[in-house]
Amino acid sequence: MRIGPFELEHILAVANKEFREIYRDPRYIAFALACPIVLLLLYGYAITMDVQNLLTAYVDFNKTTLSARYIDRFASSRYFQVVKEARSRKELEELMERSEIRLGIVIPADFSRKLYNRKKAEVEFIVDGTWPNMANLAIGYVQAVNGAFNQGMLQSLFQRSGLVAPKSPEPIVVEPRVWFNEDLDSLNFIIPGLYAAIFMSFPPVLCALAIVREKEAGSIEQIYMSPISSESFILGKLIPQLTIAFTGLVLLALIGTFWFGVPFKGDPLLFFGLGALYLATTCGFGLLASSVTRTQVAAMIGTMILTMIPAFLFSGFFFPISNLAKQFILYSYLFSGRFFVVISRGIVIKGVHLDTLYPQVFGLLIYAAVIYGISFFVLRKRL
Amino acid sequence: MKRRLVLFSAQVYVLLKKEMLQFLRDKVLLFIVLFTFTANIVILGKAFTLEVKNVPTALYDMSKSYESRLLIEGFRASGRFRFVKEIDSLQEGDRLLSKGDISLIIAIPADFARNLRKGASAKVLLSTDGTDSNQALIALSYAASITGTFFTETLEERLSLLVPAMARGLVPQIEEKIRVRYNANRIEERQLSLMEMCRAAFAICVILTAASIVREKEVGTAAQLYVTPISKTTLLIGKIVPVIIIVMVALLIGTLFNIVFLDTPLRGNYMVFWVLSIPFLLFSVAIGLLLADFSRTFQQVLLGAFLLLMPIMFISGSLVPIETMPKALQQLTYFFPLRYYLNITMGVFFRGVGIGSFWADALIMTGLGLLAFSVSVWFFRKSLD
Amino acid sequence: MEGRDSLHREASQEPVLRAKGLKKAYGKTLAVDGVDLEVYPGEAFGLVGPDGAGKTTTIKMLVGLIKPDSGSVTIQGQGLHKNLKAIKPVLGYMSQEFTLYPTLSVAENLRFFARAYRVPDAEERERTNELLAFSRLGPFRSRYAGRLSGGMKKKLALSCALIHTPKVLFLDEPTTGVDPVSRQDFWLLLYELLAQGVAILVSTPYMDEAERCNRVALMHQGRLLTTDTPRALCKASTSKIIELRGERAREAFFLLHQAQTSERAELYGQKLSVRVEDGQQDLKEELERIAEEKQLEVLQAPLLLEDRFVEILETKGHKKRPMPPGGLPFRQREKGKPCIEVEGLYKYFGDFAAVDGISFKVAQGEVFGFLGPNGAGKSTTISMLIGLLHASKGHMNVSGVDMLKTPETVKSRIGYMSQIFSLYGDLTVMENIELYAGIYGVTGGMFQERKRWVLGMTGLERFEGQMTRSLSMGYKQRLALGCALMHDPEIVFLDEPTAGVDPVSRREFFDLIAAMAEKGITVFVTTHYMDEAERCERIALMYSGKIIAMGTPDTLKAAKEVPNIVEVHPEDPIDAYNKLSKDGWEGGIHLFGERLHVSLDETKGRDEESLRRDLERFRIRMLEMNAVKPTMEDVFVAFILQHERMKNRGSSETSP
Repeated sequence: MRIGPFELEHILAVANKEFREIYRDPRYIAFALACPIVLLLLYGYAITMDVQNLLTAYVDFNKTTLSARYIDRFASSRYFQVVKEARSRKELEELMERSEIRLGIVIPADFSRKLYNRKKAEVEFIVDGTWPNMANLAIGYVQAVNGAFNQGMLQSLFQRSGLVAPKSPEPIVVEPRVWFNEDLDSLNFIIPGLYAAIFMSFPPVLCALAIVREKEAGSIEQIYMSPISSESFILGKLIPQLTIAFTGLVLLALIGTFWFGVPFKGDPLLFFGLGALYLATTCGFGLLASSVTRTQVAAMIGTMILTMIPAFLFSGFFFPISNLAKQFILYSYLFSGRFFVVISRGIVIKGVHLDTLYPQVFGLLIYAAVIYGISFFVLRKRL
Repeated sequence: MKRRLVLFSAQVYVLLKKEMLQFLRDKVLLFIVLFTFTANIVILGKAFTLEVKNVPTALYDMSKSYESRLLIEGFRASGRFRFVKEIDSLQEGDRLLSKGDISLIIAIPADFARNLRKGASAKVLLSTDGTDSNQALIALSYAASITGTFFTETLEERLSLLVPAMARGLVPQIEEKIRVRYNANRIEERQLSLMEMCRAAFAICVILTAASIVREKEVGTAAQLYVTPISKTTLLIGKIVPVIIIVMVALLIGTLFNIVFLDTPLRGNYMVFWVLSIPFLLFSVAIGLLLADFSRTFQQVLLGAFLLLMPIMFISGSLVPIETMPKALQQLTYFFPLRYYLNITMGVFFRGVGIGSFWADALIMTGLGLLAFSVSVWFFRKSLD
Repeated sequence: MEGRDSLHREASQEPVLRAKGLKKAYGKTLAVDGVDLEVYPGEAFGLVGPDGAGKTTTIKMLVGLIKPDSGSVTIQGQGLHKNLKAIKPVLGYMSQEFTLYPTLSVAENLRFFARAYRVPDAEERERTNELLAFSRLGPFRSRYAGRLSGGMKKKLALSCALIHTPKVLFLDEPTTGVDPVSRQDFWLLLYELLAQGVAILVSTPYMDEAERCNRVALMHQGRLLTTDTPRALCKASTSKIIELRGERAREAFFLLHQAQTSERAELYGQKLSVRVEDGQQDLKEELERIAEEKQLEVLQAPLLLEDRFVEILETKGHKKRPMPPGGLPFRQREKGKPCIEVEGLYKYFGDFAAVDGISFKVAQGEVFGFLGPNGAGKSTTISMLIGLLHASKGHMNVSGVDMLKTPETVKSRIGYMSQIFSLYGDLTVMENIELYAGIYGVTGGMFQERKRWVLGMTGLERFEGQMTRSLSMGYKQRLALGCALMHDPEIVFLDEPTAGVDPVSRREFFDLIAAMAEKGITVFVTTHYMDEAERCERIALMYSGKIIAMGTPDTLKAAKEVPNIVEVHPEDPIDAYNKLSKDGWEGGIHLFGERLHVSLDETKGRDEESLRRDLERFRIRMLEMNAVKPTMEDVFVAFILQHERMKNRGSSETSP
């Protein structure tokens, strides 16, 4: 059976040969399967985006029960971890310079006096801006704690003045309803992202390696001499790589769901179907790298430089694509991860279907067409 | 003794010269090093802005009252929310939410104004897409602070209506004065690019060192070197010094790109950073040596580097703050000099901290560097076994 | 008779392969510069030349792997590049590297190529069995290809290339580094194919192997210098070889050198071989005078293909350069004292004994050769002797240093030149010299003197600033030797120093070795060129980790194990080969172009008489028959077979 330059019999013959070779190379299987798992475990534990226990210190120049109560609001919040009471502003700043704290609170001496006099008291918050993400959250939390404290004070003022007896203790109740990731656990966000991001870097390197190996051994010439078309050959070589990567994806999804306890809300069939398509694109990335570079070293280094860090950063896994400066949007299309990050999160967290995901699926299909198109074109020209 | 010293310095000199010449003539490596320290840094620096602003929001105002419009105005004025659509049903909102078109629904019930006037609890419903918990939390905290302000203002207003004596501004209130240090406008780019420079220094050291040894094994020049009477410490010094020099120069270039193209602040003494890079680079090249000890081909080096570098970079505080990681991982980072080096880098560039705060970091890095170097020398064999 | 040396071929026969004006350039370098050739069915066509001559590029163009810049290839009358798809199944190709998949078994490798060529299942089974029987790999069908010996790998690669029964077979250096027995086996397989009418184009760096071909083309710097039958090529020479034999042959060589007439003289251990042109009466007389003075025996010897190649290269201006006057700038060492002593040396890699208990001694100033195929343990032995590998057990004393105790101390006393070019290709000539001088601590006036000598010896005086990688093989090897000699070592270890080097440069290289030995430097050299072994004063034959024979080349040739060889020139060599090799002379017949070499073996009742009887029985018409001298390869084969017999007898005795 043949379709264009693809001959089924040849593809199967190459794939069969490749499977046997891989099967007999346990180190290779270990590398290809164990590494994604290790990375999932490592990153799953290491990356938390919720900021909890924000390292906090304060200077209290007021030293009253009121100021103590105010500080206590922070200390009792799970978002702040008050590590130290500093004696001076200088000490506070030193603590921050040594990265021992991320937030400093300075309560002025006139804090309680102003409040009892029904005036505005100013509390100074010093936030470490090194981690912008964390700083943003810290500011939000500070505002929330402060707002709640203010509301409480007002409330008690009302009660004490006996002016109005409010029927309800809180005049405005904000009822937050969180969708999809109800307990706002960042793990639920990160793990499905990792399903995508991890496979942005492994399959390309392994595919590049598989093709490089055949070139190095010289056996590729024997293939060129035979009636096998280079397209069939490449496809046959990619199938086992895809299979391994796919096995990896299944393992990762299992670990994510059962070990990390990230609920899988959507349709697994859809997830794995699109997953296979995604893996085909990342394998294609390796193929492209090894076809456009002349030396094997360049192929490997090129693939690694492009996939190691940027794949994480530009795929929307780490930072939302919407945070990408406009002139770099195009760059992010180098990595098909940006499509699958959305797909994976959509299916796993939201349980959405193709009707919402079609733009990403189209994206993947076009990406695949382009990357394989270029690779095959280049390979054919080489001969 | 003197003769040995003369021989040693002659040997180191010729090896150094050889390595430098080879590096400068290797176009692929040269390109890679230059790319990682120039374009790569700028790309990472320019690509991201991280402040949360303009949360795409849908509005469902059932109250349509003066109060509700006041509250909405409060949201609008904050500049944090981008109103995408006014909706007429919660179902529509849910659909938009799951499609990802919006990430927040503000719903104001029909009885909002009535309750508010009565002094009963007036509810505001915020439905948010929790997928990205981080963004959701930030959005929620913004919303909370806006409703808080709104609440204070209404109370104040009511109070002043009830008791004319209690004019505006007489409510006890804490105003937060927030000062962001170091990276004041919280633009991620400077930090990302600086961290990328540190990561690049690490990765390039490891790969260059390992590559220069293993490629000699591959092409067979290693055997020729190993049968000479040169001692293995001399040999390895001849291997690592050029790499350290190359990366030191690359750091200068990287810094220049950071400052010129990305306006990265340099508040401290650059020499402190530059000189303290040496113990860090020493450690990095020693890791490269170790990798070379256990690899026979360049491919193995690359795969090994891939395996080794990714986790180290990740957990050393270059992508996530160390204190947010689990304790066990946090403790592990004490063994990775990248942790100390990042601290020094951030300290010098952002915080303008002097050498005084870093002596401990420098000491530990040097210690780890020497340890790693000794271990790699110990493992190194001037033989092909 | 003269006419019979050029090829006999029916006029009607059409070449199956025809190439015209093939050219290929890589950047500025012209790899192949106008090659024309024709190959006929049933013919073995040899492409002979050093590395870099353009053999591989030519073959790749002939099979369509590389597109020529200009010129055409026609196969079976069809243009190759236009009809590549249709022609592919007619071609068989075996590249220089092993093209097998090491973790697939023998059968799986064959099966993969069968699928690739879409051989139908039933036919595949039949063909596989046929090929396994033919290559005698049947017993190993489920063994991984990576675990086969070098020779078996080559046979399997050949079988894979034959799975689709090609009509034209291209073999790129198929036997380089393969043990002589396997090489002979391999050629026996090729004879079968020739008998079936397959056309074979084979490239080789070995001149002695080329003599097995019907026709050979000598290739140099991208051009075919000449094409003809080996015999016709040699006959076209106007020179004779005069041999001077005796213990003082080396002294005679240096006398010639002083008289500056050494450029056509070659020293082979205790034999000085001089190519004298027909008119050179004065040189002849001088040789006779020297022979008398040094008590040497004067003989006439046949001119070999390599001599002819060198002669042709001379006419192209590529002459052997005489050594720089003044000799080597090294101190004279006293000869004769023991300098390498090895006793019961073993080296294991896992369970595998790469070196399996060898013992030998080498004296100071001796040229000692290690001869053996790839994987025999030559390089492993050298690596242990120079401290690159640790011995598993045994005694090893090099230049007074116990190598098992303090291997580092020996390193300032030895020089080493490894198998692969081991200088830095991305450094210039001068930078390489300075590097090694610096490492060895050679400075000041001594450095200046040695630097001058190295540049003079290599002929690179005006190319100090050239990148070493752009030098030709011959220059590279001499420069590497120069760097290895920088510190005036007592012993130099040369691991296959001349692999792939052109014959003129090889001869220059061996002149240097002679000069080193004259200074009392011990030269320990390994090689898989059989003829090169004769350059050594003493050789050890190494095979599967063991030394199976040791002695001077002449004593080994005269050993009782070595069979007598008769050369037969029948009218129809293929027919004669077919008849004899199928009835009573299996494995003992080798085709050398138009002639047969028959090994006599008394133990099997194969003597000259029975050969004559059988020739008559088969009605083979003979034009000529005479005894020939065994080559070093014949010697090696004989010792390997003897060794295998002993081993088999040993194992059958222990396991009843």
